[in-house]
Amino acid sequence: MSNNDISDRKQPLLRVENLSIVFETGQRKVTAVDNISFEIQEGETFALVGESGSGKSISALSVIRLLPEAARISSGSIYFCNQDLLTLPEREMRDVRGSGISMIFQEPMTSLNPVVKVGRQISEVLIRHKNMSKSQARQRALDLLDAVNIKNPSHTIDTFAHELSGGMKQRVMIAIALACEPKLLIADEPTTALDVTIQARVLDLINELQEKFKMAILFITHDLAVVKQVADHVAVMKQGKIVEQSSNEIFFSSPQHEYSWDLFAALPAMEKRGRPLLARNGSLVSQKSVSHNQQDSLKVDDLKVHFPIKKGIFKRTVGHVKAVDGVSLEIPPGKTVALVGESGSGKTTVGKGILRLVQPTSGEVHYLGLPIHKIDKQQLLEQRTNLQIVFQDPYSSMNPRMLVGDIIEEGMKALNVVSDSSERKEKVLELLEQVGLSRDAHLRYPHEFSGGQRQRICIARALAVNPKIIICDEPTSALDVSVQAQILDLLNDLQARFGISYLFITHNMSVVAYFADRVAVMYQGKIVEQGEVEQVLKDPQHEYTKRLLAAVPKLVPPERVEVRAEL
Amino acid sequence: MFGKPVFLITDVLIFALVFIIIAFFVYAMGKPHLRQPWRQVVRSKAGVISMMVLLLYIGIAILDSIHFHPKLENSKEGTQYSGEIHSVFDRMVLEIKNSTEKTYSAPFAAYLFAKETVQLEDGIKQREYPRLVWGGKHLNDPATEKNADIFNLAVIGAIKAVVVWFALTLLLILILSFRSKSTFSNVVKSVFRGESEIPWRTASITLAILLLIIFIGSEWATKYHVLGTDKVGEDVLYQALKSIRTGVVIGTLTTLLMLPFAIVLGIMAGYFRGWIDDVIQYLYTTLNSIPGVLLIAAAVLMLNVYMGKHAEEFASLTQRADLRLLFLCLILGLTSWTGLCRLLRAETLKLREVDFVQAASAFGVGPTQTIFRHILPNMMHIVLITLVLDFSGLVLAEAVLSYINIGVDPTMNSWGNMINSARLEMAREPVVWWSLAASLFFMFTLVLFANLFADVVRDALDPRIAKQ
Repeated sequence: MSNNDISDRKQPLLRVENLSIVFETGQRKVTAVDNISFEIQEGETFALVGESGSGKSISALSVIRLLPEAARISSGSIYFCNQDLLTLPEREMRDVRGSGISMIFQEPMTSLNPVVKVGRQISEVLIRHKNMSKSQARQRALDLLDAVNIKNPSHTIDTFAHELSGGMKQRVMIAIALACEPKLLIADEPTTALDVTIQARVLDLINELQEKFKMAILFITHDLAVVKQVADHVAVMKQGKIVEQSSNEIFFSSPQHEYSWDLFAALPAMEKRGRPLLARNGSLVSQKSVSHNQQDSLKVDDLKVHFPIKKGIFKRTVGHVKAVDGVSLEIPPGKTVALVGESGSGKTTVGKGILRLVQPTSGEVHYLGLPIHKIDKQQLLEQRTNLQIVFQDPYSSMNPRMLVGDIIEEGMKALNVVSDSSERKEKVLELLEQVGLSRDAHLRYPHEFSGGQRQRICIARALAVNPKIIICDEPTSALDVSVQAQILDLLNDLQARFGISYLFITHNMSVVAYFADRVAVMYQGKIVEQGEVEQVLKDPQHEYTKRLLAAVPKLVPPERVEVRAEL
Repeated sequence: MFGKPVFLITDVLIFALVFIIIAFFVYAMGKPHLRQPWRQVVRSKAGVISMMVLLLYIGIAILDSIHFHPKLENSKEGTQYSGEIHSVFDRMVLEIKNSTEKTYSAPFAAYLFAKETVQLEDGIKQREYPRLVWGGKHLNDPATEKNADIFNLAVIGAIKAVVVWFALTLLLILILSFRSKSTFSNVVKSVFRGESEIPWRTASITLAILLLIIFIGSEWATKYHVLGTDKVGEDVLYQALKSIRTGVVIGTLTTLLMLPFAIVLGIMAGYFRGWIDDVIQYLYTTLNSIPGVLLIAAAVLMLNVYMGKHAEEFASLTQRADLRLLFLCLILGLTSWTGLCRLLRAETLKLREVDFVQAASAFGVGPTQTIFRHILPNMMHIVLITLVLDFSGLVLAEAVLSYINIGVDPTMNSWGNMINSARLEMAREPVVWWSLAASLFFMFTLVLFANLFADVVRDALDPRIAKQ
């Protein structure tokens, strides 16, 4: 570790020493944080990186002593400005929170009180900590809203949280956190719930404010690209332990720990196309030369999905929400088409519209010479074996009351793909093996599996009916990078073996760069640009695509030349 | 065995309910996700205690639901049956049932509560408190002997209770050690230190208390009117015990009768939406805006008129009272399904948009199968929680309705009827308090433990709480 360059600096702002936190539920004890130590200097940004469950959020919460009830600090100490926070009485701790240390959370939607005006939520802090009068606090709140780049502060100050967009809410949260000019700001995944373009702006804002207010930031994230952009120091957490700690430059040029290498390896990128992310030295099995003619492509032509807005007792239609407004696409056999866009751009609705899970308002979908958009129920039922879907959230996409075997079998039964019941059972076991799960998984319930394993089950369920096209609706966005890599490898492998096409709906540009053959960029219900991946990513034509690509934090993974030679 | 069996409608429904519950538990044992929450119920102390008390109540209610025409003993040719209807429980407490006095007597009294003119042997008429026909008749001089006698009976009862408790606890430990395959002494240790997974120590203590109450009570009840007698000299304890069945029937059957409405309409409204949703919503908002008591009063009066006109259709008073009870359950159910229906509609609206339902429709699974496989099983916890929470409310509702004379038949024993008649007794001087006290005590115990049980069940089944 790079201890020598820390030792000759001045007294650190925050010092965490040998901190351990255990969770006690009934008789069971789980160590969430295991003997970690780190220091944050004044004015620097310290990033805690790790996958979900690595204990990074709990470590941060312990600094402001807001741990959940079941958690207990079993050993260690936390010094803030040479004051031991763990022995401080609660009354004094309240003064530290807000004026000394403040925090912004991941989810701006739920962090603001929905029934109190934004301005009052900011001035509340000021009145409490700085003994300001109401009018003083209001004036200061206006200044703060201005400082976080909100365009019309005098209007925003009297709005409620629901009137603001996600990015605006996060700005307001930052304004609240900065109200008392804290020395340390804890940012717990502040941009994870936001779109890339908004993420870029919020990160810039945090940077700018850090310089203005000279505060230190404890930045918690799972996104290495963001870390690269903001952090001075990096600590990598795994299973409650800090496995590596070093400065930004050293970490991103030559990481020391094996786990850090694994994190980098799991990152999808344009350079890694054509070889699996996780298996070293491997390359994808070359695709069987299946003869495709143009007939086999799925063609979407001017698809529109409008949702009516109904008002009044008689539910008259007063207008339409144009979720999808004229989308044309082509999915060639055996290829991956990525549909990229920010939240609310209508990409999920396109997927559902193609499958007719949502009835399209107008437009045509043709597949294998059939007009999918207007065939009758019986024909649609037959086509359902060809077109399948994998959802974003692996937790809600399976019925928690059904066995995994029954879940996978359901489609085969309903579509009568395999009519013999023992044959069907055999196929379920085969599918489980294909997606990399053990055969005995079919007798277990979904809740016994992790997010990544659940996503494998969902893929197995879709595969069960031998589809030719699978619509993947953000299948990896709820997963950690390493699990995402596993799923992408699996999808790649399945495509190579069975020649399946994917319509891959995502907002993650690096996944697109690694995984897709073609890409379509969607903005406000319309496709603004589409083409071959390399062409679109390297030479974007449309203004929005340019903006989108510029906002993606850049990260070139370090090359592991000499280490691989040792292995 | 005792005579010719009779199946009243509520009996059949109660046994159907018991069968459903047993079938559900057998089914749930094979499904880990269903077994898990019930394990949590059994592991909590409050859960174990309330379950045991409720089982006692339900046990009495079930015994009281096996009806028959008793055999006439002095019939000459063949077997003849009486027109009366008795239950197994009646037979068990036959002695108390038949021990009627002339009028009021206080608990444990040996004398009547009111003075009477008695002709002494020497022909002099005198007003005094006459001895009871049955209560304390074995005593020569109640004034000196009674307290000692009551104490002796309590000791005999306690000894019996301890013997039975010891035998049952021993049996439990033997079964436990056999099943866990550990030594007898280890099991004893873990049980009595309260270290076992299921709180057996709590269960054992509760059992001891219940056995003490049962055995001492029944020892006393063979010699005295433990809770006194009412205006026509009927034993109050007997009345209170008979009322258990009425309370349990109303608490359970009402929910059972309303469930089909609530589930079917709630799911239909939420799943199909559109005009079906509108019709169902208008239906329950309309029903909800009519005062419940008014609806119940109107329905009960209608039934009274009908029964008055068709008196010949009812073989006995018991059958007539039973029909009225069932009707009360029906009408209570009809006014109370709207709450659950709303909850289920909202839950269905939520579930039909969940990914796994969407996935099912991507496989072309039809609405019937989607509802039965994906929607219904995922909201059974709401149904169960409502069922248990509603129980105590309905028991109390019966008392209120009987008090204003639109509840169960006046000839039927129920806590509401007891409270209703206590209205006049409270105005007497000296006051007759035991009817009211007895009904309140029995009702209070049932409702209290039902509420405790409901809390535990909700904690175990509610996914929002269970996740933490």
